[in-house]
Amino acid sequence: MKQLTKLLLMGVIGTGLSFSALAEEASVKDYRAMLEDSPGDFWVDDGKDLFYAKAGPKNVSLEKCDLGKGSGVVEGVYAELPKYFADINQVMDLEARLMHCMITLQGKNKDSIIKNAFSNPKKGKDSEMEKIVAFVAAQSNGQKFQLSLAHPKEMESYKTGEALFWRRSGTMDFSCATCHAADGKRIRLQTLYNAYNDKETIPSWPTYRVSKSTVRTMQNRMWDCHWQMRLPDVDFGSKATVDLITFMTKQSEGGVIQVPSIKR
Amino acid sequence: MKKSIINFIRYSTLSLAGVGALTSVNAHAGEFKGANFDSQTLQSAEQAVKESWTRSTPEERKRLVQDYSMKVCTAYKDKPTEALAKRIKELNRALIEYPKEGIKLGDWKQGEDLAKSGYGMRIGTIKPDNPKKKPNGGNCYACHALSPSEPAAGNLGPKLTGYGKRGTNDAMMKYTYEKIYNAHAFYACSGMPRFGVHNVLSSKQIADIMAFLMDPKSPVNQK
Ligand code: HEC
Ligand code: HEC
Repeated sequence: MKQLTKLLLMGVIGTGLSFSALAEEASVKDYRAMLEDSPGDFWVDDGKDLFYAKAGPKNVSLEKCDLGKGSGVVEGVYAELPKYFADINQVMDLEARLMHCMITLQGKNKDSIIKNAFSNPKKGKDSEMEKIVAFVAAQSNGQKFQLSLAHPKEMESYKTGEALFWRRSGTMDFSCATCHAADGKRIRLQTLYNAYNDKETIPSWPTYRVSKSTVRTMQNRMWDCHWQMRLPDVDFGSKATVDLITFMTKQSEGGVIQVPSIKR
Repeated sequence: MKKSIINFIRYSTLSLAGVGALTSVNAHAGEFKGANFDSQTLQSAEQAVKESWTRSTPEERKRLVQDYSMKVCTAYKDKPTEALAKRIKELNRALIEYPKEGIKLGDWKQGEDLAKSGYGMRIGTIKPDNPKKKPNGGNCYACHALSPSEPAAGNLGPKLTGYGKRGTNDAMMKYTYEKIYNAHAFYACSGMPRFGVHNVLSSKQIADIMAFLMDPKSPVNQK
């Protein structure tokens, strides 16, 4: 709600939908120039409040959550995720890890976390996850992604992620690579990011989506592209999504994190 | 529905048909010689798929199952060896079914709508696409430039503007029908969906799209 009022005041909401397909790229540029900061910054503010607020059946905050650099540390953690977590013997991305903390520390219910992971502004549905993710990720702004892949499970996640990236299936015979493995490709007028030659795209997520009037996270993108591929809904925070994110993040190592960015 | 069962049977029998020279590749995806991914990695990807769609119905999860072509294309990052490419093309050629009434051009106007539409086959918690409400599209514009008056065209596939110049002789009619039905019969691991094989487009819809490509009156063939 807080960011909604702010956005209304700034005249941001509503303009998004009027972008025509053709003018898209240009208008996003103008739009960026118009705003000094991404509207996503309001999600960061709200996410900070939520991170430190007592919540869930156990009525505790997420301050004890170990996101990779010890409990409560948020500074710089995103730049090293996904990574291996010994307590659960598993590689996790930021969102899977936050969900883990919400369940184990706060006593929240997994099904309801998953059900509410993505906002739907058109239906007035809010997402705390999107805000907390925006907050934590923004604490790595200015840093470069650096995944060591030193743990065997991290290396396994990277390799599996690449195989999943090329895995063809579904009624359209698509793999991620059909669309995201060459330079200069477009679907209609939408430019497609090339996972093999791009250091900017992954470090720009989470991002404020003008067309959706909300911040979207990488887990949302994983759901969305699988849906476009005519595959069933992939589980939030699942191994396939984490492995794909490990692969894509490692590929973009060296790119500077600047989030939430702003996109069409 | 019946057709998909037939296709399913064809899939399975055809992969069995390769027993012998192909036993090793059929036995396990991981045993593809000289592939980009080793067998352990491919197995681990399959395991990840098993674990990562637990909230979908078994019917929906069938979409995740790979046929032989998909497995080869995955293992070789869409660049199979010459022998495997030949095999894929043969297997896919055998999947093509022809309309009883013969291959004909339909209505280019309807074909144009189908070429523009990306509707169809989406499933999940968001309201799934319903072919009874709106027909599946071919979404050709997502990947191809067609009519010169439609600038919003993708470029994953080659430009098809002026396609009708190649004429409408029997060979071109057959080629175009087969290409839309099953692109992989000509080009192993093509980025183009197999619209006929997966029952995305009916033979009537393919006829309409063919008219959009080939009818001299179609905008595709105007200057
Ligand atoms: C049929 C083409 C297609 C396939 C297949 C596909 N995507 Fe995408 N992807 C897109 C399009 C189009 C966009 C841009 C969407 C938008 O801007 O709304 C996109 C966006 C993305 C982005 C964000 C890029 C950016 O510019 O910020 C990522 C990351 C991504 N896809 C990953 C994947 C992964 C991983 C897979 C496989 C699971 C996949 N995609 C499969 C078409 C595809
Ligand atoms: C996801 C992208 C994609 C979509 C959607 C798509 N194609 Fe293609 N198409 C390709 C690619 C890539 C090629 C080149 C490789 C090949 O020949 O298979 C191609 C090749 C072709 C060719 C052969 C080119 C030639 O010069 O002979 C034809 C014809 C064709 N497509 C027609 C269509 C039609 C009609 C549709 C819509 C029903 C369509 N395509 C949808 C990607 C696509």
